[in-house]
Amino acid sequence: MNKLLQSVFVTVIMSAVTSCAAYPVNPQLAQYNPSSGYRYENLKAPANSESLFVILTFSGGGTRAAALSYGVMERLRNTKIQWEGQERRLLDEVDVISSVSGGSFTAAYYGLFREELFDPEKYEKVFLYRDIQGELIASLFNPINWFRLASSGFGRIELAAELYDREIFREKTFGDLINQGRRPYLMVNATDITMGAQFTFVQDQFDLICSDLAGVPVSRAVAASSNFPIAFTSLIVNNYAGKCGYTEPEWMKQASKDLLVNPPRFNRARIARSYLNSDERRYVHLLDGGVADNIGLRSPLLAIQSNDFSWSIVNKINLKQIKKLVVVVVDARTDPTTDIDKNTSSPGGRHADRYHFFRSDEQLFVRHRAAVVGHIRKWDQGGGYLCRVPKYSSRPVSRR
Amino acid sequence: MEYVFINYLTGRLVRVDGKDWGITNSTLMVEKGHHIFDLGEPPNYQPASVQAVVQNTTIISPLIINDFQPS
Repeated sequence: MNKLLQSVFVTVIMSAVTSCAAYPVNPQLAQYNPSSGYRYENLKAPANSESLFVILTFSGGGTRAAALSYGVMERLRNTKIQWEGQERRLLDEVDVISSVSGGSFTAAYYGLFREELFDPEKYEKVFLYRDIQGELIASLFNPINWFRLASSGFGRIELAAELYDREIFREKTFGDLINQGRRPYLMVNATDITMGAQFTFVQDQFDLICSDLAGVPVSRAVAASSNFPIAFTSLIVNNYAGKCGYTEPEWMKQASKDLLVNPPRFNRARIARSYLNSDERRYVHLLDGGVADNIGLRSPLLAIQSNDFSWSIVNKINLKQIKKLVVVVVDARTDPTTDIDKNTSSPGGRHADRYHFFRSDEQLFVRHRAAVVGHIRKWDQGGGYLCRVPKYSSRPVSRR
Repeated sequence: MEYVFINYLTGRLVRVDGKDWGITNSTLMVEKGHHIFDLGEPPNYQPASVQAVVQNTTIISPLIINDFQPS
């Protein structure tokens, strides 16, 4: 009888644990308001001039990428510049950080905690020198988590998001970033599996799914951004489209006529529209931002090329708000390893990180760099642009 | 990148697809494709907006829009 009672008790407890296991749902947006929320134009920067516009992009590449971007931040902090008659730290002039995967940890930590990034007792200790991967693997051996993971709404990525939230990002949300109201504008990028497109944790993106980014923990953005395929399950974002009075912006209406004139612009509108059908897309499944773009340069590049974004750099240059544009691409890519090519056995899942389709950085880096440099040179030749493009040299970081 | 020059009696703000974009009587950069141009507030000009497909322009031969007149 006792054994029967014990079994019933254990079953009830485990059922309760399983039923409680669900991913934290992103809140619904009550009313669409294009002038509120986490947007570039809502962030002020008293010590940051708009005329010198600095963009950082942090690539993927795990802890190596996080460490490299951290080193770049240190260097920017130590670099003094003269601009408009004042001496400033180059770090204080950073307007936008677009990040992917490992680079998103550094970007988000700086966005939330600023100078604490450089405190050896903080970021280095809680993330850079910590065996996060070991802790995640250990959490898989916790029996309570077995039952939680049995729930369809609680995948392995949720264990990672919980750990990041508790141990690194101190349960801060995008609402905390909005309250700070300071640049740089963080663009933490993940990949929408269905569309194969970049999904950025900014309110412009969340408007499409009628969700309030202010209530989303920053850790979830970083978890989605670094959600390596196969190792983790997809991170889910609920789609409430059609419930907040969202109206399509004019660019989307215009771009929908551009199938023959400008196919990439047409495609951007098509992808944006796909979120508006919440019957078909009730949930958006997100993976590592590196699947779509492992450099994090795509969003800044679009802002440089297009007038369609709220923080369009083209528009700012036309309006003479920007005099000099600086784009710092921090790319932690390594030379591809060729050891799987030395024998005939199939590499299998354990070498998934070597698969080229999970490493979009190689081709994208070359293509994006050429596009950015090309655009800057055109402006330069037009006489209205002050930026000089230095000779570019790229040497991949050696694999550790 | 494409280029558009909007002629107007005075220098005033121009918008593209509903967003602040530049100043009249100067050559402005725009992405290739369909766009709608207007002069924002106050609405003391006609027509209210101009629709155009911008392509095959250069900085020295921009698309010139002469349609806007004070009302």
